[in-house]
Amino acid sequence: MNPEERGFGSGVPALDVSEHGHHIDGLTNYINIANVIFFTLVVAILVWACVAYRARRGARAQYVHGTSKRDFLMAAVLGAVVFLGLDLAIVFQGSRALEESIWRYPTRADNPLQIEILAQQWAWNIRYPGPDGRFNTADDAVTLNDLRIPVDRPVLFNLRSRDVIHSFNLPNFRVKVDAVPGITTRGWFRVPSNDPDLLGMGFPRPVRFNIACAQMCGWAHYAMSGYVTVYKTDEFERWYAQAVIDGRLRYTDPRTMEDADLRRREEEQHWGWDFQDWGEPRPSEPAAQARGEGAHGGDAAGENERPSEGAAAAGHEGGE
Amino acid sequence: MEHAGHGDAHGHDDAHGHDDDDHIHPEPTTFLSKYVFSVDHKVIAKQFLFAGLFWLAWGGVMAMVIRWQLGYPGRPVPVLGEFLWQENGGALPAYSYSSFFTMHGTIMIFFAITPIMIGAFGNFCIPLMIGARDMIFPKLNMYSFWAFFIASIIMMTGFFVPGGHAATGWTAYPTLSTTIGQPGHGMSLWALGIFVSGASTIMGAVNYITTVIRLRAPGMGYFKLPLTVWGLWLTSILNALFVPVIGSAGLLLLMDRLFGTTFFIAGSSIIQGQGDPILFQHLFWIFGHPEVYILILPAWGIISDLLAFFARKPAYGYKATVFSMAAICVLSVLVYGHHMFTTGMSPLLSQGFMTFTMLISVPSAILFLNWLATIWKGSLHFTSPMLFSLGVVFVFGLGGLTGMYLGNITTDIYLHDTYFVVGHFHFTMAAAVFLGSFASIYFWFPKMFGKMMITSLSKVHFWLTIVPLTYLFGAMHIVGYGGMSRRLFDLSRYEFLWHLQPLQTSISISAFLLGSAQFIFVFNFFYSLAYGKKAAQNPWAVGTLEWQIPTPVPHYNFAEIPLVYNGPHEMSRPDMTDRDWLAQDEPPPSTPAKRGEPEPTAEPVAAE
Repeated sequence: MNPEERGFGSGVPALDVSEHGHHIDGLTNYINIANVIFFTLVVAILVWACVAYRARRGARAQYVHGTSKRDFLMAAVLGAVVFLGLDLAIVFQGSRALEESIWRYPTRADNPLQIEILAQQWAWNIRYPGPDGRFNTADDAVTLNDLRIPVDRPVLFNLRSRDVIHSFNLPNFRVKVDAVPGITTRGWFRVPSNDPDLLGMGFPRPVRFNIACAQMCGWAHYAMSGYVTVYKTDEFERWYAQAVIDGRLRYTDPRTMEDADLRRREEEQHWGWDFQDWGEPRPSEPAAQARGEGAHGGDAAGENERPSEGAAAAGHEGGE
Repeated sequence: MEHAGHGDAHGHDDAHGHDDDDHIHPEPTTFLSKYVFSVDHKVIAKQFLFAGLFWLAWGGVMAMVIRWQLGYPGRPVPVLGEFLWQENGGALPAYSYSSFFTMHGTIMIFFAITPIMIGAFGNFCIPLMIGARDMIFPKLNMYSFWAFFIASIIMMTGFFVPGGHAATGWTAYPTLSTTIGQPGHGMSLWALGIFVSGASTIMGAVNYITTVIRLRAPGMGYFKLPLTVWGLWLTSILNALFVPVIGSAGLLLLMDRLFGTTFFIAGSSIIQGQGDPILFQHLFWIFGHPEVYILILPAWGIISDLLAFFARKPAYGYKATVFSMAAICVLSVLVYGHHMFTTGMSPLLSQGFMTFTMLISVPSAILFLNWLATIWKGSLHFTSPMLFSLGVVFVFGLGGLTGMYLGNITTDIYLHDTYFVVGHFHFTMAAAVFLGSFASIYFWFPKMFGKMMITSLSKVHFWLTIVPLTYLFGAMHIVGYGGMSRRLFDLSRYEFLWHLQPLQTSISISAFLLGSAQFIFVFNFFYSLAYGKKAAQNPWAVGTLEWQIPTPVPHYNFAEIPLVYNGPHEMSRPDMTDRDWLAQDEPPPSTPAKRGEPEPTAEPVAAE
């Protein structure tokens, strides 16, 4: 790839360049602190007891059953501290992060970059809609194991699997979503251009990160890797425009159209589906109607890819 | 569990309990009926123990090979490589790697921990500790072992079929585990083996539950049971409820594989089917999460007893320990969804599972409080069972606390399916349970085999186990926190993980140290078995019933069914000066009770 590209964001934990990631890391740190306190306490008592109360000649253990009012109170206080300080605090912070950020999907007003990802043994097929905003049309841009995204724009993706369960894992973006055959799952993230880790890695030059598979998906699970490249907006647009042209060329190449075998193989690449964003339909946008169930397809389970109209629309999905 | 609340009421009128087993059958005379097809719970316990130790060694060797690949990727495996992977230059191929970690998990869970903790010590301890002559269904007990034996053969066969053994991870998620991802017979044998071993477990569980309810000696109320029995009993209840679920999941999977059904196969671009792969995950984890507690509860019970015995103190907060364990059993059923946070589950459901998961920390904290308070102001004897019990408290502390990250949806997004999870469940399920197993073996060996083990060697074994073990699983958390996925054959495909390779190598070295240290145990075990010092009747000077009968335990255990007066850990009573323990079937000195009156008045446990 481009030698100018930097990246990978190694570290423990892996560097985070996403907008929502600080919620995850922040809560992790909260638990870190709570755990260090509890663990130190347990080990201190354990070690102290082992040293101070080791068997000595003539010394006798205390004969108590721990059933006095004081013992009960001690257990109640401990229970309350754990319940309030750990359980409730973590559930509360976690839920707030989910509602305010992680599960707060971008609406159409946020102009998200829509992407479809089809997982297979052992690769990630990635599809961009092209200028018409619709998937499975001649102007789609399709890549393999190569996700390119702009900064500052939410990336909203649909995920499906061809064969077995995979898990789309972007460690540096704190994203992990399973790809399950038969259903469509989704996720989103955004990379702020002023993220200090991103700038530290050389942005505004393009920065590269790993895509990993997190779910055991067969013997080559380890090899199901890919790259995410983060571009500044104008560079991304330039790449995107070129990718669309390349894609269209492959669609309309006369040789492809004439040779039946080539054409079949080409059409097999048209695996896209109507994008599902689960959002409420927005009547102000005429495109929503044109997309049919795309805008409010809440129940996607078991649905097959629906062939859409267009030059090469045959939805070559075997079976149903 | 519903008995827990009014257990004492049952305990009082318990005279009917021993009617079930009043008569003594003649001792078996032939070799077959005595040692092979035995219905004696003590013999079956030993059969389970040896079978479990065999599988433990097998699974342990597999772990070493896995660690070799992770520590030294692509280098020829020493010793084994020449025989097994000659065509690959002695290095472990990726396919075999998948098979190895799959079978390591399967074997350790279903064929090592289950037979050792539940099969061996459940069988040995329950009748002896409750004052019974045998299990209530001795033949069912024998069938349980032989079903396990058949399951073992099925599992073993899988290693030798073309295409190799199952390679999906022990979770066996469809559609990978259907013929789409696993065309060979190994996976079918895996599913069948799980089904048959499940049948074995269910037979054992039904037997244990009934035995504890029906065969407690007169006076042995529920709250006078040793905590070991409580742990095993609660485990059996969970087993009886949830092993059938994994059994049916295995059977459905088998039908998908062999008979063309599509329970777990959903339509996608290259597959046809009307089923749902997520359904399997629900079935798997509604068993799988209780399974974690199925494995750890016996260890909790046992170390609760052992800490009290060797602190020479009554267990602190006995009832609180029992209720905490029971509460965890109930919660364990309500939290299984935390294994599925990334599957696109409904947010409401996810949050429910998250809340219940977090709640488990409350009863767990009470357990820790009770363990620490038990040794507080005791008179601690650092025998080998005691050392291993303290080890359980230490590593389970680590394992429990690291669970906080994984039970929470937010932090789980990053840590799900990473090595952090691997480290976490190895602390809880592997380290804590095996330290508990070693504690049990060192503690009950004298009663089981009539010989003493070598104390100095067992203490060396402890230190050479706990140190590498803590480093090994602790460092796995760091690798996972760095972002490494589970089940990776080789991390070199991921540039952001390259910096973790030295750490991986150090983990492997630590694993090899841990593995080598187990030879000390093997030697100690077999040497003591053959040449060990003859054990006294009650070498640890404790009061539970199994130590009040001769060593080795006679056929039919108790010449006369004992009458129980006391709780299990009446140690260091101020009204006793000659010794610091009181047997459960011995009237307390301050209140000489007559036989036939099983409830002495000034008995402190009953006064609670």
